[in-house]
Amino acid sequence: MITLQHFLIIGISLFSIGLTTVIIKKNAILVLLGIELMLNGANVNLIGFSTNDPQIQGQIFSLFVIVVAAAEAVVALAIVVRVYQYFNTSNVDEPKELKG
Amino acid sequence: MNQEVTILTLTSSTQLSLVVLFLPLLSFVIMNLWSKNRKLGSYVSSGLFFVNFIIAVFLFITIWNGEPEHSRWLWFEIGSGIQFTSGVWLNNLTVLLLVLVTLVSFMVHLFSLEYMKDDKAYNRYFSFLGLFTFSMLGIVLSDNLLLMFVFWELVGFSSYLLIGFWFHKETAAKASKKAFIVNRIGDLGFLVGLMILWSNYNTLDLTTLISSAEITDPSLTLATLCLFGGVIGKSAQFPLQVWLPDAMEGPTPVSALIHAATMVAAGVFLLARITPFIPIDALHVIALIGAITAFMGGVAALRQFDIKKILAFSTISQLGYMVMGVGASAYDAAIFHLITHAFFKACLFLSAGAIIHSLHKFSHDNDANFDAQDIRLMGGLRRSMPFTFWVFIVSSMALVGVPLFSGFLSKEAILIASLSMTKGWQVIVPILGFGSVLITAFYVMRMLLIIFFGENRLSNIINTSYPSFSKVSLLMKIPLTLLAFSSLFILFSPNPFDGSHSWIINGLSNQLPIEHHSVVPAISVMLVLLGMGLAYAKFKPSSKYIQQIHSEPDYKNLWQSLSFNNWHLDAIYDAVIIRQAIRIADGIKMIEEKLINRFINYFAIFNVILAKILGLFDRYIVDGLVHFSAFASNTIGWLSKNIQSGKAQTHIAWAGLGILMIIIWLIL
Repeated sequence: MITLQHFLIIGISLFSIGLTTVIIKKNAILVLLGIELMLNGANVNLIGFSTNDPQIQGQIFSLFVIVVAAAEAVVALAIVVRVYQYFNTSNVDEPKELKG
Repeated sequence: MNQEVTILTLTSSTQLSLVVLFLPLLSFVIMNLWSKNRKLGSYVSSGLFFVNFIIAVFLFITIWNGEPEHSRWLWFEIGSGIQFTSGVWLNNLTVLLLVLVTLVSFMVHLFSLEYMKDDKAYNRYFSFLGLFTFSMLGIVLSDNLLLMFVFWELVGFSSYLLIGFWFHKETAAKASKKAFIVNRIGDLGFLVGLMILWSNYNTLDLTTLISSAEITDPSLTLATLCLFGGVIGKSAQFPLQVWLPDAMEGPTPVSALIHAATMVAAGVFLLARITPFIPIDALHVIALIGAITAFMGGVAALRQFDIKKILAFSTISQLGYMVMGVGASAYDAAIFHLITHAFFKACLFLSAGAIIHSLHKFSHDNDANFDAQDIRLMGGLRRSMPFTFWVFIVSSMALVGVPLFSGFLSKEAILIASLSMTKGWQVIVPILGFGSVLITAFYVMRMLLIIFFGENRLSNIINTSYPSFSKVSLLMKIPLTLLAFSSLFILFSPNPFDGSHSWIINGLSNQLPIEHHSVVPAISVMLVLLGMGLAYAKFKPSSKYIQQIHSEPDYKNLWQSLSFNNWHLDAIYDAVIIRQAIRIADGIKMIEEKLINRFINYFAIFNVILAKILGLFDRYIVDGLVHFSAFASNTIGWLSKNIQSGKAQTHIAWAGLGILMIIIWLIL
């Protein structure tokens, strides 16, 4: 029997791994990958909670999330390509224009 | 308590007297500025003194036997209402002294033109003469004791300058210091007297004092005796007469002006000014001191070999006479003697100066080195310097008190006055007075015989042919002639045997003229003849004494030793006062070195240590605080700066942390 706890553990694990990947990884592609992981961690949460919901609103919402994530991945990859063209690297540490 | 000070406006006579006062000061200033042209400067200054003399004579004619003129103005004020005045008081006494001082001053200027001709510091000499005359005239004109005291000190100071004129000679430098210090002791008395008078009468104005002082007041006796202390110093009375013989280190014309005619007379003048309010007890003390001084000075003059020292001791003796005269309540006679003495003593000094000048020139021209003032080297000058001889004879006869000369008149007046003191111990005063007549005759005769008679002894010492001395120049002859003429009776009294009706005495005293005695002159003439006879017997040119004069004098005899060494006063003072003072000074020096210096050293060391500690505190605590705060803000800045590294991932990490914290805060 899969209980809510299992859903939540999987979800938080995915989210944490995703966040860690976002923070630690230098490569922009891997950072995007981490973001996908975090989004899917959230999706697992939504689905997990929607098992107790007869109207399955959570599962519907997770479909929207997947769509938005796909769109976001397109935009982000485009940004990565532009950054690579501009800075000649896909390393997220290299562009320090934000440094105060 | 405070009496209102009345201001008396200037009259034409007092204005003129101020001109007389300040002309010598002008001469002082001119001579100091006019250092380029020696000749012209000194002639201008002598001219100023001649003008001064003329004005003084004019004032004399205006004031003498007329109304006294008095001008007074506010001098300064202390606190509220304590007012001091200064002013000019012209009466018979003032104008008489005014003429005397300006005349003698002028004569000395004329004489000095020649005498000081070759001196390097010619200008300095004349400027000092001007300063001295200014201060002396100040004493004469002052109408109150405080102003007089100021000028009194100035006189002491200018006398110091003139005695030490040849300061490169050690003896002269020492003599000037001695004169200054000894005078200072007397001046202390003067100052104390001023304080007593002020505390009792709230005024130092002479006219007010004369009218308000109660003659029976015992504090007045003390006050006048204290003032007399100043006189003892300035007029070289016993026991402070030691400075005057040493003061002969100054140039001879200075000795004539200061130490014979004017400065030493300042004391007698002060006594004459205050004599209306001197109580009778004080007068007796004054008379006694005067008589003792007259006698001691005379005795000390007996054995001297320095021509100027003989004259100096005779000055002390004559000053003793004057003070004795004041003490015997005959200040008129004392002032009379002051005047006559000023003339004949100035004349004696100036002619001695002429002799010294010639001898000095002789020694200079012949490359011979001898003391130009030693009478043992003179002798026979009667033939080589006839003019000086006659002038000297006239003035010494006046000094001895031979009839027909001025000294006779004034000395008789004092002796007659001294006869009023016959009660108890007072009888010693006339006895000493008459004794001094005998002594004076003796030493003057000795001096004349040794200097002018016999053979010249200079050739015994140095190998020259008979010395021929330079002639006395005209500039020297004029003052000598005038002063010698003033030593005759004719200026002072129509009757050569009776001085008590002299115009000076008539003008000064408001009491009945002194009764004329015929016994006193007779006795004193006999004493004079006796003294001169004794001296002739001992010192005549063929005598044993003169033959052996160059051999070392034998002073084993107590009396002779006393005379030669001026009663050993210098030695006594040296042993009793000076050595003790030096011992005390040494003791104080030791305390200073051992105790105070050590204490101060330790104090300084303590201070240094304290300063070091403070420095450390400053460096480590105070500076440390500042450094720490700088370090702290630096660190905080560094930390917060690192948050914004510019890396997107760091931002995300911080954002995640922030959200986490918000969540935790919301949950809790």
